[in-house]
Amino acid sequence: MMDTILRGQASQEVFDTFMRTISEPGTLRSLPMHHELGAPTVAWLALALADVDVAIASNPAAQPGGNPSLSQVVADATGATVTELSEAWIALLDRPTPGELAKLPRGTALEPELGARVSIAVDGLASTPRDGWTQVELSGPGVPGRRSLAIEGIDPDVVMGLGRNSGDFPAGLDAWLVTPTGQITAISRSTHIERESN
Amino acid sequence: MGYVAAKGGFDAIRAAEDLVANTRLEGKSSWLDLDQIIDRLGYAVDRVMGEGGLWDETTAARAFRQAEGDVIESAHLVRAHRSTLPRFGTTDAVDVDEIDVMRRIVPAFREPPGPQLLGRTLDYTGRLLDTPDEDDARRSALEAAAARAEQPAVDVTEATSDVRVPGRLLDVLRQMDLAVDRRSNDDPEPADIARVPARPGAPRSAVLSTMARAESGALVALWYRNILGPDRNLHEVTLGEVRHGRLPVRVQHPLIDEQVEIGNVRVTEVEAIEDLDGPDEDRTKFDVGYGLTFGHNERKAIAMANLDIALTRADAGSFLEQSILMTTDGLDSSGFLEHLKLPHYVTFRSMVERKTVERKTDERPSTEAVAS
Amino acid sequence: MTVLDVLPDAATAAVLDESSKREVRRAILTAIAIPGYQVPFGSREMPVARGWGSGGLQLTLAIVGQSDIVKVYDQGEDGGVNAANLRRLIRQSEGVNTTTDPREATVIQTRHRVPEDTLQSGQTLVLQVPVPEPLRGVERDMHELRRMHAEGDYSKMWVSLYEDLVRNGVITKTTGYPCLVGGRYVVATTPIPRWDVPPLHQAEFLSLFGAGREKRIYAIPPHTDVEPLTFDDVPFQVEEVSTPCRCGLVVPDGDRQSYQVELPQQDGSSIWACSDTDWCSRQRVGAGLLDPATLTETEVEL
Repeated sequence: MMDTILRGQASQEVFDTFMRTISEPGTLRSLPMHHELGAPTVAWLALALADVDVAIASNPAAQPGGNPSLSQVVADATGATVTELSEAWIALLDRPTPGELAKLPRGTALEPELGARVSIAVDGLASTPRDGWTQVELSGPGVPGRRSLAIEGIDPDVVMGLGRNSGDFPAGLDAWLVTPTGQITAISRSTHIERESN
Repeated sequence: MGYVAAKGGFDAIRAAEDLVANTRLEGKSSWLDLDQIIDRLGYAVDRVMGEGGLWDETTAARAFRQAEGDVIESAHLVRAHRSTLPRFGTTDAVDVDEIDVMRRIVPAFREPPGPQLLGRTLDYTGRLLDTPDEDDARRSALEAAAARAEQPAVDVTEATSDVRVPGRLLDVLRQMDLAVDRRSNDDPEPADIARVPARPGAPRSAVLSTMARAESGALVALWYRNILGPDRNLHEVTLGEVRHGRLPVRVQHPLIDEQVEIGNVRVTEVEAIEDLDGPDEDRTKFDVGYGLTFGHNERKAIAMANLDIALTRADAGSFLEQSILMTTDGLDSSGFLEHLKLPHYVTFRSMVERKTVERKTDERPSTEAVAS
Repeated sequence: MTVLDVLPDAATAAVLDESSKREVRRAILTAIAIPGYQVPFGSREMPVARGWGSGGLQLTLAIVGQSDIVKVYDQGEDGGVNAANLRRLIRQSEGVNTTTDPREATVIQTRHRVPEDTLQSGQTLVLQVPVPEPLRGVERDMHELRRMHAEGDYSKMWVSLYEDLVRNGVITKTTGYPCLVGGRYVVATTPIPRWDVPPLHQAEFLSLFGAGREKRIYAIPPHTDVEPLTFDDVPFQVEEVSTPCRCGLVVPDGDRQSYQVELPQQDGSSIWACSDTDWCSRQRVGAGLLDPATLTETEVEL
């Protein structure tokens, strides 16, 4: 079994990718895939950030085979605690339903930092429209004007449940969308999202 | 690499470090050993452990020596050292009733249940400066040690084990129905102030942790301010317990999944009783504040216990909580105070500029832009 | 105390362990996602005192990797003792390269200045923050301060600015000028001079603010609005810069000058100098006023 622990320099490089993407929502970047990890890319957010102080959760779709669960794999590698979606500090989701997204903690205006960080596995990401993909226009901090983003393999209602759309900002969710090959983008809770029909 | 000569500052730092090392490491006297510091400067070592938030006498002594006796600087060294150490886990909570006392006094009663055990204290030593001939003093100390070694050892454990773990006065007050019961389960896991910054609204465990790690002088000053100064959150305090003793340290063994005792720490523990006389308080009862800190530091533990009960009783809108949480850490206050020595000429220039502009504005005939 | 005493193995010793770095990184991500919000974090004790850049230092140590090139400067000066000390510490702890040239730096840690050079996409500015709370001048109660930020209720700040204007004819706030970030949170712009505030607006670069003593991190992502609080009919004013640097450098009219600091003389007069020493040197070399061969190299190899 391949190592699942992100150490030192590798940990920093993966974090840097997450930091750059959340700084400029909707931009496409690549995870530094030369770090061969024995866990799918959807888990990397937790592998890079979690430790004994962090509670993580995953949804059933993110753990095909189910045993051990994806969050348990991450917990073994990082010392994190496995918990329910409703208590998660980091959530690892594959094809999440709007219902699963709604369970996640969003924080409050007094403590927005309690809102969850969400890593969502998707099939594809592009900056130009693609047939059959979910097409959105992003604006807000980190976006000069507007930025378009096309996503394959996600429920459009899940996308629209991210960002600043639900009206409870500064509460909210900060999300990274990642493909199996490590292409990645982010939608922060301060991002405005408009759906484009295609 | 840039153009500008950035070497000047670096050379100056090197030179300053040399000057520090000259006196501290070489000096004119013999090398100062760590066991000497632990042995003979125990109160300083205990203060460093308390304010550094780390129990280890050797580390504290090392820091104290390096900081040339500056306690706050020593605490800083200890805490910065701690920042470099990985965290493996947390100890299990211990019941403080397990404390094995070396000293215990109960000012509130002449003969409380359990002993009045004066123990080792400077309280009744005459505050007269010893000015012996150094050689004589050294010789008589050696003689005294030799005489003590010849005396048969007293087995203290057998005869006094029950009084070394006495019950506490709060329980006596409870039995007498004289204490309000504030026990609750709303703060079960002690807050870790090294991980989660304590700010107003923090649980009591965070307030107590903050005081346990606070600068001793800052706590005493805040206490006195509440007695004599403008804050007046303290009224009629009697001490219930003042203890210096040992508490066990236990962890879950990572392999055999059992609790194991890995050592003990010395602590000073205090209970402070306040007479409840507020309009909304139960006038028939007392309430008790709690103080506990690493090592032997009664001043600090007493101030802490007093401030704990003062905070419980403080009016809404009182700044006591904020004062305790935000202003008693020695590293915070000293660091910020000392940072004033850093260059500030960029910001000062900006201030001067506004004064100049303000004067020009004053010289103008009117300020119509404002009136609109 | 010296830094070397704290570092048992100066060549490789890390000042922050991996778990502490992760905690700082988690706070950074939240700070970026909520521009201008002060994220609490469990600030670790650093080998430098609180108030001496411990917050900025934790940010830099948490974000840099071996390929990064770090610039550290203080008051615009790379050669200052505190800048030199922090630069040495970062280099020894993380094994990164350092520079004085902000154009080649990937991470720039600064106290009280933003480089005169326009920073680019991918660069990160780390600002050392002594007092992160912009509203402390108008409100001391921390419960109330949190409520004001939570509700975006900045009326007390506006009243204070208005009273300032009425009383003094100008807004007399000097450095650390309060700004509205992303249309939502008022932040303290460390204490950088007002001169340095416009470059933060819709910038290409990421700004991270670290207050170690007060245990807060906040951020301004690239392409984010940073609006100095002022009234529609009272334009925000940066410091007046009218006198050329003592170096003889004359910036053509219409070009951006550089922030000047005053050097008072014994006879009561003053001369002026560019605060940003690296920028000043490069301009002088470019204008033929300075022979680069006369400049000492930085201490990078020391």
